[in-house]
Amino acid sequence: MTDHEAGTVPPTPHHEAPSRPVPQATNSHRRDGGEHVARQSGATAAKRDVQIIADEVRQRDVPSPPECVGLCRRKNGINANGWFDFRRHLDL
Amino acid sequence: MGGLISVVISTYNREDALDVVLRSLSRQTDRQFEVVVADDGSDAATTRAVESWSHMPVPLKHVRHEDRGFRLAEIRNRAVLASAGSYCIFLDGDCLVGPNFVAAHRHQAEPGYFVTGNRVRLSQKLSLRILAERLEAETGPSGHWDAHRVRGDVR
Repeated sequence: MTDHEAGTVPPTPHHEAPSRPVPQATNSHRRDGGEHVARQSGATAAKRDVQIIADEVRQRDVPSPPECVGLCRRKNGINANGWFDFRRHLDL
Repeated sequence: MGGLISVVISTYNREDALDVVLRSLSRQTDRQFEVVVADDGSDAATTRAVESWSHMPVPLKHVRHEDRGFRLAEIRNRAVLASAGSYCIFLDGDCLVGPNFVAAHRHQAEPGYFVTGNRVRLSQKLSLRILAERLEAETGPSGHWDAHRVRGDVR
């Protein structure tokens, strides 16, 4: 805004304005990391930042997944097919 | 829905929680998925924690950028770019999942729809126990969560 344009924008009723431009996140994953001090660093190529830790489905001796279908069926939110029904748990 | 699913986990310097989350994902009934850790500039401890899961029974990728403040959205987008799945599930790095988590999402997935879920909040006391004693809280005997709820550890 230049000087001669001052006052050209109508003020909001009662001069109310948001106290911050963006709502504060309520569930930031930084919440438990203490105060974070940003530091400057150069940009890096995206592909250099991708590390493949495990690359394919391995045929090895892994523990079998736990059987819980019988348990789950007794819980709320499980439909007749034994699946958790997300639609019953939406925060709407 | 068929095809590969990508589970994108966002994290920042919570290697202890991330380890528990990865453990819960390693025990899924549905194995046709990959895990992409979206790391918003954590220190070396998180890298070590992810690398310790080289025995993960599904593909595991670690996508990280430099720590230049809170850039969660950017690293999530980078993780999506690095993913190979046709369907993405976004998960926070401190949310452990039940063994049917991926299977349930696959069952609910429909083209053009975004599925959202809820989570159960655990008390700090129970959370610390899970982390310290490596409890397998995502599974347990019948009535296991009811007992926690009665004790006030779940809400």
